[in-house]
Parts: sequence; C-alpha cells; structure tokens
Amino acid sequence: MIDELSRLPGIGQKSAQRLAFYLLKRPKEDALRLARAIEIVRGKITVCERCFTLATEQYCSICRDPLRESDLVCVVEGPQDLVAIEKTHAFSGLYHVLGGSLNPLDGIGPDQLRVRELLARVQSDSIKEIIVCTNPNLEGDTTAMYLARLLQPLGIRVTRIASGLPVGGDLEYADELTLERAIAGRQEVVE
Amino acid sequence: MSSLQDIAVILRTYRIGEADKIVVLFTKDHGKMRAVAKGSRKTTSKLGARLEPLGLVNVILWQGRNLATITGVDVIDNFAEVRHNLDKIMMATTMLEIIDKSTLDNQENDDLFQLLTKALATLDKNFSPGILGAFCFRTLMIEGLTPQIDNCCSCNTTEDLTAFNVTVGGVLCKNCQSGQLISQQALDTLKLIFSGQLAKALHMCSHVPELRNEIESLGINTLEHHLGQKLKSHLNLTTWV
Repeated sequence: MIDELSRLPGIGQKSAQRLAFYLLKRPKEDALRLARAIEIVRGKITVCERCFTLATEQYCSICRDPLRESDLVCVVEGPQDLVAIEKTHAFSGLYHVLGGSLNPLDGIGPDQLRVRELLARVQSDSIKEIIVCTNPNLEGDTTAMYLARLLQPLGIRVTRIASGLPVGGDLEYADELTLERAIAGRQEVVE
Repeated sequence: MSSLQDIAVILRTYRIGEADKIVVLFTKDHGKMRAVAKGSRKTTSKLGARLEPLGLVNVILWQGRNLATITGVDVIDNFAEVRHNLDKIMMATTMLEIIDKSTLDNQENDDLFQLLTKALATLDKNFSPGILGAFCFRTLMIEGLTPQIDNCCSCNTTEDLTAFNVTVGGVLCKNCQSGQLISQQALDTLKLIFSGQLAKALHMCSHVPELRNEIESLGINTLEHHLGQKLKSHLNLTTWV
C-alpha cells in the first residue's frame, strides 16, 4: 500500500507511509469508502466524444447543455484548465481539450494533439469564434499562432485570452514581459 | 557554495515538482548550466516570465553541491518580435536546440554565445529567411567541423563541384558524385558564410526561396550527422495537418 501511494504525484515514501498508517488507524468504513470512490470514478469516467474533457456519458454535461453558446469554443490544454475557467462563471460557450500544447523543443506537433478533431468540429458545427486559452508561455503562444494560421482562412475568428497583471499584485514587482502585454492589451476605462 | 552572476540565453525549461522549473541556461562565461527556479510556475512568481525560453537575461545563481538555484533574473532582451511570429519562433527554437545539443555543461564557449545572441537579435529585427542555414554552418565552423567546399573531397579538383556529402565532409565533383546535389548558387552562399560575409549571404537567400531551403537543409543534415541525432524542433509547419 505504501508503494502504491508513493506513486501519486507529490507523495514520497515518507508521506505515503504517513497516509497508510492514517488509513489503518481510521475506522474500516472510512478506508473502504475511499476505495469505493476510486473504483466508481475509474469505472465511470470516460472522455467526452465532442470536447475530450472527462465525462461520465458519451458527451459531457457542458456539451449536453442546450443553453451554452454552441458557436463559441474555448480551446484549453487540459481538463484542469476547463475546470479553472468554469469556476469564473464568465464563459458560456463550449470547450475543446487539446491534450497539451505545441512544443517544438520536445518535437510535439499537432499530430500529438487533438488539432484534427478541432478542425473537424469547426467544419461540421457552425463555430464562429475560437478562444485560445493555452498557458501564457512560449508553447501556449506558439499553439495560439498555429491555430490562428490554420483556422482564420476558414473564416473563423480566433482570439487569445488577455495577459496581464494579477489582481491584488504590485505593479513595481511585475516583470517586463507581463507589463508589456498588459500595456498592449489596455482597455478604455468605463464608468 | 558560492553565488555567481552571468549573462545567459534560456535554452529550455523542464517542469519539476508542483511549481518549480529546471532552467537550461547558456551563459557567456560559464557555458551551459542547469539551475532550479523555485516556485517559478506560480502566477505570483517574480521569476516565471523572465525565465521563458529565448530570453537573454542577467542571472544570479547560488551554486550548491548539485544543481544551482536561481535567485535573481533581469531581462536584457526578450526578443518580442520573435515571440509574435510563428515562423521566427520555429527558427529560434531550432537554434536553441542546436546549442543545447552541441554543447557540454560548464564548458565556456564565447564564440557560440555571440553567434546565438547575434542570430536572435537579427531574427528579431527583420525576417531573414536564410538565417537558420547560416547559423548551422557558423556553428559547425566554431566547433571545428567546417565542411570542405573549395575542392572535391575525393579527387581534390576545383572544377564541376556538384554534390555535397556529409559523410565525406564536403563537396564532390561530377565524377566522384555522391550524397545530395548542390547548386552553384548554394556553393557561393556557403563561401560567403564561411568568409564572414553573412549580410551578403542572407541577402542572397532572401531573394531566392529555393536557395534558402537548400542551405537550410544542407546545414541541418550536416549538424544532425555530427550530433548523431535528429533535431526535434526542426518541424515543417506546412506538413502539419
């Protein structure tokens, strides 16, 4: 059990040992509940056939929701990014999980990502805008530029999430690249 | 244990742990180094954006027993124009990979450092299509692997040089021909590159796309031959999807 727990991310041998002894100390029902939860999740969770996020049915709850804007698609690297955007309640469109980002230094090209599937969606569904929500780093920016080059000739509006300063941060400690992007993406003050 | 300060180009980064990165730096005075940037993947990190690949930075490191730790970074140039252009990014990342694969840790190589920073600055200022090919051959030259282009590698003649073979180390005449064919224009461009007349060579490549492709393919093939491995970042965008 210690060996199995130590395979989890961020869990070393010592932490695994602590968790194992904790589970042994707790009532038997607690440990079995955890085991049952893992078994149910692993048995039920599949990948949504449309957006490739985690789902319990053929399509995820977002793709099945008729109230979502079906012509607006947010492209994210992984399901965890989708969860982060959903928490904001600021986006009412659909998603597409790429499964990573283009990384020339590691030789990761579009063939290793779900770019073909995105292209098929764009051609079959009536999508008007794609918002590229990849990480604001070299790989994420490369992915955004590649998707723009691929999709704009098809008449699709390709946008990129804004980069800038974190709310509550201090301007004087901001790095040059972030500050440069914040200035480039400035907005008019609306009262 | 000591602290050191140097100018460096960030070659690449690896994710490690929850929020850390291992950064591969090509420094001016200490050669290629690996260092940990603790907490740099957090959005609140002061180091994060300053440690993106391609950046030319002034870095302060704390040298421990194993890996060094990055304690401070100031950006000298982040080559913003390169970052905003897909074709330039592809060329620049290939240059970074070439430097990463052709250098050993802690081996100072000022000539290679100057070549990389100048190539990135040129790419940043204007789009020079032939720059990657020229970069490959200048790297080979600095590493002492200049191919023979003035006379045939087999019979030594200077007439009818029509082929380029990486395994024999240069050009071959019509009678000894093997490897890939080389045009007279490409031969002239290579002579300009090796004699340091880079501006002229880039000017020639910018007017003839086939020449740019020929020089680039010759340069990449020769480098891959000497490195003994393929360059992952040299992907052709037109073949994607």
